[in-house]
Amino acid sequence: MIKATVKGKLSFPDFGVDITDILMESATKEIMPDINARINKSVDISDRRYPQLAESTVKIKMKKGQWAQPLIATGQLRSSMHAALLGKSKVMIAPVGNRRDGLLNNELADILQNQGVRTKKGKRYFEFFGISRLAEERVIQRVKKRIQELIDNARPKDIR
Amino acid sequence: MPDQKTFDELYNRELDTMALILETKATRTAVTLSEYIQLRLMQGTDAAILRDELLTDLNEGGRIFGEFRRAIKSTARGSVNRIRDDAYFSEFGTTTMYRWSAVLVNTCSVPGTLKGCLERHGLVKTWEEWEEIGLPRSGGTVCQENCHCVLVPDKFAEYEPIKRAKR
Repeated sequence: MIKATVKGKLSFPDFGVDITDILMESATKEIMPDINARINKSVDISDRRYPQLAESTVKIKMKKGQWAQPLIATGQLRSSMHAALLGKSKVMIAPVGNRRDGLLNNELADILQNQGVRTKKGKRYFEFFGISRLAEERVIQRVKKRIQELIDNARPKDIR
Repeated sequence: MPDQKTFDELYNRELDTMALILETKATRTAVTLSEYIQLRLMQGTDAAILRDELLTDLNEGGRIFGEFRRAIKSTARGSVNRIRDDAYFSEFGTTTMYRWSAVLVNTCSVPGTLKGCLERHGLVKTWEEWEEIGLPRSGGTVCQENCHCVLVPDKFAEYEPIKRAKR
């Protein structure tokens, strides 16, 4: 009878996979541009078009030299979107910074989306901030492409 | 460019903050995705099998991408009818061409414009182009939120507009 003894044990530590860089890329390359593109197209994150502005509102905006469409006046809201790393494995996207009218961009975003803007026909809400279906799909496609690229470029080292 | 302090202040504010948080589980020992792939290939895992494993993990929300998948989930609201469109969209993606297939309850026609569902029937465009023109139930057509039309991947057979009788 042959007795075999196992000497030593090869084991790998239980490690996680840090995909913080993927979080950041998703935020800056897909989610934030999608939010801004929708503001430009006057479409909310649920793919609904914003109702047209009242004629009186359009006249006032044009007098001030502003864009005659919802959510765009001076461009401050669009340029306020930023992403930042908050510790490990956490990315935050938010409208930040002060506005020339004294509000914070974040406060204005809250008014537009959650509190509502008073109009003659009642309160109007602008659901512009969030992750749309298209943005989600694009993020997934981007990650799939990244996985393929990493595998294609990987060069396994010789095991000695 | 706002600095880290601005973000930290925003995050720590007691008042509700408008923000999207993308987060995954932080472990003390973690390797990057690139290092993980290198390690697995070194262990002798076949590249095609590894790719399928990672894609399954991503699609089904596994150990690596589970929290990420939950984090980037769409925050958009959708009606029951939109789930049908979403099913096509999920399966066929953003690069497929979609045909407008009219389901008419009323006349739903505004001749000479794209505001009418009948005028849109049969037109083929990308999902993005339809978003700009107006997806079904987005308010872009004369039927507004009551629109019953659907976007169908172009590869499917084309039919005449479906005319439903008013109840």
